[in-house]
Amino acid sequence: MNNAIEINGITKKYKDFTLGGVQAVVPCGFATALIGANGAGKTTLIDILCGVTGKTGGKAVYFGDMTDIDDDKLRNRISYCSSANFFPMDWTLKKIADSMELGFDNFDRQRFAELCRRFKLGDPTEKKQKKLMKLSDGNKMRTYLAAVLARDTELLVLDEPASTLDPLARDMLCDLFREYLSERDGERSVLFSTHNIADMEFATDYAIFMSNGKVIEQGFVEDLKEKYILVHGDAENADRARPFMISFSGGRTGFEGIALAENADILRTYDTAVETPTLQQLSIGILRKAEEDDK
Amino acid sequence: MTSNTLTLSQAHKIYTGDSMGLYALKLSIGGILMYSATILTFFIIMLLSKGNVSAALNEMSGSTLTNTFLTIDAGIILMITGLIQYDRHLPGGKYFRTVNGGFDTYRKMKNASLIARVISLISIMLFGALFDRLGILKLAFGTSGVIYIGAFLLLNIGLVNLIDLIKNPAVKGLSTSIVLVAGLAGVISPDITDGNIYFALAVAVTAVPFIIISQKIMLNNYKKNKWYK
Repeated sequence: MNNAIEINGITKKYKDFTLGGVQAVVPCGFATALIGANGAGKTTLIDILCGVTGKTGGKAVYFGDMTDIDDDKLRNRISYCSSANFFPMDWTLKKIADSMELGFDNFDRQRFAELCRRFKLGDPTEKKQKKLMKLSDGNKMRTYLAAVLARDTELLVLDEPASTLDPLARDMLCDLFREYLSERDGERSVLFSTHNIADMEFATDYAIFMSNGKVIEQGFVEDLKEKYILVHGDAENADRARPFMISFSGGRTGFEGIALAENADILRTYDTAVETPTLQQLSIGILRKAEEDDK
Repeated sequence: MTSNTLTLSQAHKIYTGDSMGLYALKLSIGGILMYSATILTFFIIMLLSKGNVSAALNEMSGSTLTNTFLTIDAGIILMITGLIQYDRHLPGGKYFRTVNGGFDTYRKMKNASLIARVISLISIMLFGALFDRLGILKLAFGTSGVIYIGAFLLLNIGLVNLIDLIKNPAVKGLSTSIVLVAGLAGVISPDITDGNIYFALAVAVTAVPFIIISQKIMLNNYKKNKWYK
């Protein structure tokens, strides 16, 4: 299978944080979610991959053979949007279109107008327009999305696109991902970071979990759901089940956590219920385990 | 639009939404309006003090204070626009790093902004000189005084570039006042040189390479310390 990006040992050192030797892939033709707690390094990694921040070491290979993110040919194959303040706040839809038309080879003004109408943002050709600073956070994000989706690219990279969106807009975002991917079946890919794992589960094909600057797990969601199981049982069996679980939370009445599927048979003998976890449950389990390991 | 074919004006439009020409026009109009407003305020104060229009105008004409207003108004415009930041953490900062050409486009934008600032300086000075020539408001040392102000403000454009190298925000803030004081040398020096126009022209000629060198230093510093970090 082709990869949109192969990340080989990318590092970035700050005074108080190190993104350490990231090894990951973003498979071509799928939507990949970058999942992690605040400060895990998701934004730093996305910024490095999109040429917004320089890296200290390592390499990223894009679309099989491209490595120089400063190369305009590569820049024009990637649409990128940050989580906040992506454009100057005194800009209007028209200014965004004027700037992007000159800034990229593949910005389609007509498509931008269509997307603005679809997102109920107004018409970029109208004389009187609101500045971004006057829009709600949700509408700002819709504006950014309209702008980046108006470019004809092969990789869409979005940093926390769902954080400011209401549930309906998040649902629409999932549909947009599907549309983007299906327009050129198998040729386009999406990489996004998110905290709203439950809302974005429908849109996620592949997941990369990050904790404390490192990739701790990655894979297709369907494979991960086969690799891990969700276990819950009564409190009386908690102590016996715990050694076989990778994450555990319990109270007086019962316990719940994630375990490797290979331990399912043993855990069943402790009178536990074993289920397929959701991506949200999986994420909490994997990230909680990473946090405990770091301690 | 590929980065190689991007003009300075187009690079400026990517960053500000305005072409270089429109930006220069906006700065010129802004500076002229600011100077006019200052003069009008000064005139009203004089009118209240002297009681009639001709006495107020007489008091203002040829006054060093009028030259000072012209210097400060133009200087403030040049300084504020010269210190506009496009860092990664500021709105638009990440977007600008992804456009065609990357740092090369940033460099073109900064050069376009520099040209626009010089054009606006010339426009504001021409406006001051026009007021003087038409006898609406005489400046100290007349047109010569305007050339002095323009020449020293040109030097200030280079100084503002160097201020950009200062990392500490407090020191940077203090330095801006030093730049204004340095600009006022254009008001004081005609008194010392008897308004000798060649001295002002020599300052202006010296300012050109100073601006070019300081612009290069500023851009190299930005690329090394801010663009990729």
